[in-house]
Amino acid sequence: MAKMIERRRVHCPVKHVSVFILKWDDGSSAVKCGDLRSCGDSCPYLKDPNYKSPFRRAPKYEPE
Amino acid sequence: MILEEPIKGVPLVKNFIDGEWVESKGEIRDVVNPAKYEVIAKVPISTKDEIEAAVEAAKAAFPDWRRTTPLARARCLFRLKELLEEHFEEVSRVQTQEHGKTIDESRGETRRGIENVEVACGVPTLMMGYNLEDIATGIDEYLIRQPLGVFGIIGPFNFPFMIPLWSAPYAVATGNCVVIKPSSEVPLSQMKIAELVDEAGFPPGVWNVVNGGRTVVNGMLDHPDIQGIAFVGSTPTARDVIYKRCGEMGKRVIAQGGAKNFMVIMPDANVRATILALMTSFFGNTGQRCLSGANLVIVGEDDGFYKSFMDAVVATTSKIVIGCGLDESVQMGPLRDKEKKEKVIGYIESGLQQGAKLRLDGRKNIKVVGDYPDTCFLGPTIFEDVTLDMKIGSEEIFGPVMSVMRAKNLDEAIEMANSNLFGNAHAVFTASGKIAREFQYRVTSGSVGINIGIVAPMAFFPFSGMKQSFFGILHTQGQEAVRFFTESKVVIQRWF
Repeated sequence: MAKMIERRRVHCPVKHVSVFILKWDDGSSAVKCGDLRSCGDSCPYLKDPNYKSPFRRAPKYEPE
Repeated sequence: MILEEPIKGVPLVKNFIDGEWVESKGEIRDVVNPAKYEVIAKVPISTKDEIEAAVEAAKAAFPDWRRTTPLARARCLFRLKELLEEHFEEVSRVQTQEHGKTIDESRGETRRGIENVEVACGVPTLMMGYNLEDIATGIDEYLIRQPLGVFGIIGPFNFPFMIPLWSAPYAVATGNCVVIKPSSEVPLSQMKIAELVDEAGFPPGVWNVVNGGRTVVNGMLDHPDIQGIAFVGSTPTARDVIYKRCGEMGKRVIAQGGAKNFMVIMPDANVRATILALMTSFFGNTGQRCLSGANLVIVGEDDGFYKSFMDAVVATTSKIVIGCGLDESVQMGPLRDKEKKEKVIGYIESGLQQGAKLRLDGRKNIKVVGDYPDTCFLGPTIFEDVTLDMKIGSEEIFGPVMSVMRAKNLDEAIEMANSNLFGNAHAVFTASGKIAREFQYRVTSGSVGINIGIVAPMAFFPFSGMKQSFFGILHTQGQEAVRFFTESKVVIQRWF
């Protein structure tokens, strides 16, 4: 039986909710989210559990 | 990527009265998408007869609805919550299309609106009273909360989806019926919600929407069957019209007005995190929110800190991406309309006339991503050397303008914030718990931010406000909304 190796909470930029990403040592992953049924296949974390939105609400201040 | 627009063609918005979609006989006006500056819908300015018909429908629905158990009322709200989740993206895009805000801001607004529906689902617990046995020998006393009847809810243009949901879910959860008047500039979000309310199984007359302007507002204020009004808008209207008329008519009232929020920066603040917070505070929603930062007060006499902080603020602000809100890369959309842009420009001109130093001019070189007319777009503006007696230092601008001031110490910064007429959402940025506590303790502000730029209370906390920012006693959201929409009835009983 595969062993869970990661349990990560992320902020979904699509629905603005907390989403839990689970990963197992056999390479499989799952998304635990109350909105998964309404999002269906459009969930970005289903396609890529490491998904990171490129969007930034505001520019970052980068000190020189 | 530009997202697809949900509103197609130019639909005529109808009123939702007694569970039916009814065409108004009133004058018809355009609803304009400010990014493209094109007409996306037509909205009626409903007549006195139409608001009266909605109040009649709500009044007729009330006796059955109040007898419906709180659990059954909550089930309708649970269904509404599920439907809102299913239509999450669509309703978010509608907000962007009609208002201009970025899709990320709209999604955030949708989430905050839904959270109020979720909290109102707890009405069987929220509405409970309390009791005490033996207040005298063999006598018990208890309190029950009862609905009052019909409430009017009047929404502003800046949060077309969320703000009516600060009130309406609690009103209907507690057994009242509502008549909602959205802003005629942005009526489409409330139309979409009403469609979902209908689908969720609310009985006819419980949730009504009447579009329009002053006639509808006056019709609500003057109607003897409207028990109270929840209003969000400008201070002159909140104070001189809504609060005053509700007082004269004996109605309950929540009247939320404007703001001029002070963001106080202490020298020990985390510069990188603070600047990021300031960007969304001052320029998010294009500055059109009562929680926006307006005056930036930098504390301390260290000119070096002031200069380096302001250089960083200006450099970061200059990078804000401006464009159509349905472009997912955009960080700031247009102002809601041309008149609002002109009003903000008027404030910029007054700042120059009154001697403030224009550090970043939003009127010039506006780089709008994509091929859109610049009719409603305005870049972020930063003024330095602003004083409290200047218009840009004292009045609500409601646009992307930062007025920068300096204070010698925390005492002076708090005095500056407290000297303003408004008291909505001041904030301090510091690494010191002692300073934060002192600020929280002494500042006259309904909400207080500690290293938070947009002090937006969650649905289970009241949306507070002080001085000219709020007129009334109880607030929208959470427990206070439940109390606003119910009467506390006390029963004392003895059995012989």
